[in-house]
Amino acid sequence: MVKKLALFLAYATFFIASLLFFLPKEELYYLAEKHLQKQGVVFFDETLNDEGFSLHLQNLGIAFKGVHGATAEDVRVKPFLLYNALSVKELKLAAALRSFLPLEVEEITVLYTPLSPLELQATARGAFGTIEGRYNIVTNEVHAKLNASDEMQKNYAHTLRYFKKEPNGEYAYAKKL
Amino acid sequence: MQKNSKNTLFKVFYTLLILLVVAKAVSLGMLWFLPASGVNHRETKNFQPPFHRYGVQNMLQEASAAQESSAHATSENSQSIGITNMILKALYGNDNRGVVVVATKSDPKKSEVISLGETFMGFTLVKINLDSADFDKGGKRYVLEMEASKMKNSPALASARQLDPDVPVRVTKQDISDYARNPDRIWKEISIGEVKENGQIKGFQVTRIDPKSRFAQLGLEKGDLIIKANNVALKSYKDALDIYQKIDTIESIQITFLRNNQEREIIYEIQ
Repeated sequence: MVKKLALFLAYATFFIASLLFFLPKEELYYLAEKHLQKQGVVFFDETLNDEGFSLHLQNLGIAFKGVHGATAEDVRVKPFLLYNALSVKELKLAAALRSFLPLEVEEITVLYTPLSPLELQATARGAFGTIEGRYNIVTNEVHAKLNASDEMQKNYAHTLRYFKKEPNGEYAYAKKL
Repeated sequence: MQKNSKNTLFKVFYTLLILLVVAKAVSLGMLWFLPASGVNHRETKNFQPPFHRYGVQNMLQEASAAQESSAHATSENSQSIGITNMILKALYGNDNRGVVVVATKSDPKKSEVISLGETFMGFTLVKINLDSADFDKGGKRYVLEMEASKMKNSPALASARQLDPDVPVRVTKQDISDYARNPDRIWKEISIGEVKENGQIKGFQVTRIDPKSRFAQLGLEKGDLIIKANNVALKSYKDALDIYQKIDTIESIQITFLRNNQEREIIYEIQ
C-alpha cells in the first residue's frame, strides 16, 4: 500500500513537472499582457525566451497609460504552481519620474502561492530603500511597509507624505484600489 | 524473477511516457485558448508643429510706443539727474516690450510710466528684467533695481504680470534646472492633482501653492485648473509629461487654465 502511494506520488510529481515544462509560457504571458493592457499597463520591446521551467524576459519596457514608466533588464517568471514567482532585476524608472522617486531599483520579487490564495506578496530593493507589500485579490487592498533610504528621506519627502510614519521608523502605506 | 523485474521497469517507463504525452497534449490544448501574440505598444508621437507666438497687436503697440518715445525723449533730455536718485516702483513686461513706473527720490509721489525706448531724466529704458530695469545714458548701461526687493514676492505684482496674456512671464533655464536637481522643492511649493470629468482627465488642478514661492510669482493660484499647454489639451499624464520632457528645448509655454470658471492664459518665455 505504501509502495503504491509512493509510486502514485512519484507519477503525479512527474506529470506536474512535465506539464510545467510543456506549459505554453509565452502564450500565457501574452494573455497576461492583454489583461494588463485593460488596466493601462503595456509591456513592450521585450525579448522572450522559454527556458523550460521558467520564462526569461530581457529589456522589458513598461508603459503606464501611454507614458513610458520603466525599463527592466532581466525578468524571470517561474510558474511552479505551488510557488509562482516573478523576479525583476535592474529596473530603471523613466527620467520623467525623477521628481517622485530615485530611478534605480535593484530587484523586485512578486510571489503567489495557492497556500495563501487571496494574496500576492512583493518585496523590492533599490535606491529608495526596501519595501515589503501585500495585495489582497478579493478586497483590492494594498498594504506596504517601506524602510526608506537616507536619499529617499532627504530628497523625496514629498513622496513619503503618502506613507504613515511608524514609531519604529518604517513608513506604512495602505490603500484600497 | 528477472522477467518480472523487466516487466515492472517497462511498466514504469510506459506509464511515464503516457504521462509525458498527456502533459504535452494538455499544453497543446491550452494553446487553443491562448493568444498567439502579445500587445504591441504604439507610442503616440506628438507631430504638432512647434509652438510660436505672434502678436500683431503687440507689434502695432511697439511701433506707436517707439514714435511716442522719440517725442518724449527730446522733452526729457533737458532734465537729467543721477540714476541713484531714481526709484523703480513697478515693472511690467520684458526686454521686448512693456512699461516701468519710475519716480525721483526727491518727489517719490510723482510717478511716471515710461515704455521701452522712452527717456526719463536723461536715462533711456532699454530692457525690463524680472526685478530691475536697464537704462542707457551716453552709451553706458545702468541697472535700476525695484524699490524694495520684497516686492519681488508680492502676489499683487505677480498677478498683475501674468494675467495679461500679451505679456509673457520670463522663466530662466537656471530656475528649471534648479528645480530638476531639487525635486523636493517643487512639491514643497506646489501640489497638483488630476481632475476628472466623466471618467476622463479634464485637467490638473493646483491644490496648494506657497504664496512666497517662485510658482506663485509665475501667476498660478490655488484652485487653478490647468487644461492646456501650448494648445495641447492635457487629457492624460502622458500629455503633461510630454511637455515636461521637452522643457529643455522649447522657448515658450502657453498655459491655459480655468480660474473661477473663466479661461485664462499665461505665457512663459524660457530664457
